Amino acid sequence: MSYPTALSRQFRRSRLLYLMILPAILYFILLSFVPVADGFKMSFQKFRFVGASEFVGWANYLSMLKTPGFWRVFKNTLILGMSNVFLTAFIPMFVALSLNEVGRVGVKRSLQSILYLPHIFSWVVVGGLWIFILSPNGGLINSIRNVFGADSIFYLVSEKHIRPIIIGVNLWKQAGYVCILFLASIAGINPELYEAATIDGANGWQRARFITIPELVRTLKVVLLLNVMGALRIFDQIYVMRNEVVAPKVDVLMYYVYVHGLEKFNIGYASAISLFIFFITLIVTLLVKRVSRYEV
Amino acid sequence: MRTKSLLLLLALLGLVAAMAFAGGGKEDRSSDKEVVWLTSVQGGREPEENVIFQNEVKRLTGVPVTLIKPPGSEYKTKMTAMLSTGEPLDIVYLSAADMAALADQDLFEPLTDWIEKSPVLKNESIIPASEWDRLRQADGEIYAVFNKFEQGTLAIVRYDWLENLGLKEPKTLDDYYEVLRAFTYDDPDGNGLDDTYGLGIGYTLYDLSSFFGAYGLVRGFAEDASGKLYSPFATEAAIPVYEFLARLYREGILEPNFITNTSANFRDLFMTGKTGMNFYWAAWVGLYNQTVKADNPHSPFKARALAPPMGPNGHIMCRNGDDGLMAIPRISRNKDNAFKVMEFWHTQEGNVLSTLGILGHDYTYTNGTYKLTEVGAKHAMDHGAPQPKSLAWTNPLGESEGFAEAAEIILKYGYTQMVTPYNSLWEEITRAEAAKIILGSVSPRAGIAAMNARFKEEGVF
Repeated sequence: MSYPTALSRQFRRSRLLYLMILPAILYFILLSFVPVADGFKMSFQKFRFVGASEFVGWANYLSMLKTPGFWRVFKNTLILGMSNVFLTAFIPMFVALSLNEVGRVGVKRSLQSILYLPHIFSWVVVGGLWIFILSPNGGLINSIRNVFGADSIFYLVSEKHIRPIIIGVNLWKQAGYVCILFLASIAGINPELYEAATIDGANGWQRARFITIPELVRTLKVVLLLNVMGALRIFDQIYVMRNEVVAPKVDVLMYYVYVHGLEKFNIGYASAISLFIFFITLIVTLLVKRVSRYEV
Repeated sequence: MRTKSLLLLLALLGLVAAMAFAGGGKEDRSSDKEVVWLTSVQGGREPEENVIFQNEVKRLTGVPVTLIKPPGSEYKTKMTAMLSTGEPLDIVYLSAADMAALADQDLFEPLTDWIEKSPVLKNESIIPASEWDRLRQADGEIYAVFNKFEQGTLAIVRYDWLENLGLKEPKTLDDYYEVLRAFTYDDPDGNGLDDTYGLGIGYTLYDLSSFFGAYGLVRGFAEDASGKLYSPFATEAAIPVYEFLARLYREGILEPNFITNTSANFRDLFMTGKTGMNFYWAAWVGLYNQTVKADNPHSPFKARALAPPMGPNGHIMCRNGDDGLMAIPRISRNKDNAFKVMEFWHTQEGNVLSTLGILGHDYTYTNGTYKLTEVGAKHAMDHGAPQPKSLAWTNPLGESEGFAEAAEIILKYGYTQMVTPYNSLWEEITRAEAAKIILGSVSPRAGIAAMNARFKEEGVF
């Protein structure tokens, strides 16, 4: 007579639930894992559109590592990506803390909506808007400079300015969304903690420092994790806002994949870079997950 | 009970798998006769008009057609994705440069025999044999058919501004400088405001081939005496041109957004009276006039083409457009009908469709007379080939204002850029370094050195 194992007992108890999540599992297998496996295969090939593709072993990866252009875009991706990771986590957190102190509900909600608005627009709209704002001819910033007697600066072709601009515009677009996450978290904090602190004589900053911020750490970890997962996959913003003059400073890995895969038709090589991005993202995400387990 | 659960699980798995494969499989758009046509230029001017265009092609050829027309900016991405995933396409529109880049993929059907047997395409009064020879690949085969007469790019000027200021048409680079300076500082539109620039361009160097042509320099790559590739724009002979452009920028004559402007931006600048000259396709001489006059028939706007400037050594050149081509993928399941449609495109009826547009929608034809409708007037007689390739073509409505003179200039002075797989790399590198030269960040000599260093780094030479 065989005795049921703990696993089979659990499966029998929850079999309906497992059946219900089966379509989602199949969805991910078919639309995520299978394409990744296909890409993995293509990264070892000299891909042909028609007919059998030639197996070339590690040639695409070695070519990638030997190409100076690859290292340049990798460096750009790390600089822009990591800046985005931290700035779009901490700055929205402090904005949320400030917004939380606004007493009037109507004003608070209006400010939230204004902050969130850029997030709903696509990068085509946001990028186009900022290209216009920063334009040397009729753009808002340069028009203000001209009023004060300063010369126009062509910001978008300035190697000194372009990275801060890219990081700043991304922060402008994403801050509202992240701020909402923190505000939702703040709304869940037990108000009795604030009451007790007030009775004990704590001022606003002390309440924020000793109650609000520690309670936000969990949300901060989630935001950091999400940001890290997206750090190496910047594309839309760069595609819209780049130009050839500043390309050496802002071209990123995903744009490099796009150019080699879809413009130069070098799909095997592009697949190798995509797999590289995938594995680096996976390693960094697991590291961040591990590190962020420790309580602050 | 355990068996029942297992059977239930298996049944559910099977159902989900069946749904996934049934729903996720490729839609078979191509029946035995229907032609699937991927293009970025041919067809309707709006998505809704594509459906009417398809019906018109079927009416005129008997071949049912499905047009897939992504936005221009996404076209190459879409084309690559569809070709690489084996989508059943029958006609693909692509540039000669992309054709060259894909040459080793063996993607397209050789059409030489079909062209030889075609009473339309083989007819020298429609397309001369010398034109077909330009399309021959290294193996002697022709893999594509032309879309249209590609005309070329040249200077397009606000002729009313020239007349207002009493200026003559410029002939040399110095003349061009004087005209552009006057357009910037002498209030050419007479509105009393300092709100004009002489020259408005985009993508840094688009398309200033005529300026470089004054020094005998062709756009893109050329071969030296030993057959090695080099970039004429990256030689010391180009220094005077870069100095000229830097001067235009320094003196506020060149509109400052010349690096980030798109074609739509500099066209708008020209049509709204912010700039007095741009360098663009010959067909746009007529399109500018038509577009502005459609909105304001009393506008003094008058766009005309100018001959390229003559250089100190007598060079005078402008660039012919790269061929836009139609090819049939090897995996097409409907090659006969696909070729039939491509052949039709070069007949009189096909020429009318590619220019005037669709009968009853873009134009009417009564008692032997063509007349554009309101929709047709807005579409400016461009449905994929505003100037057909056919030598036998004469527009029944006459050419748009200014186009005939522009076409003559291109025929007289135009050269065809050499097609290489590195053309897009040339654009990227040349524009990047040229921008720095024009902005004054680097000297022309340093910029040229940087261009050549980057070409070498990329393995071009």
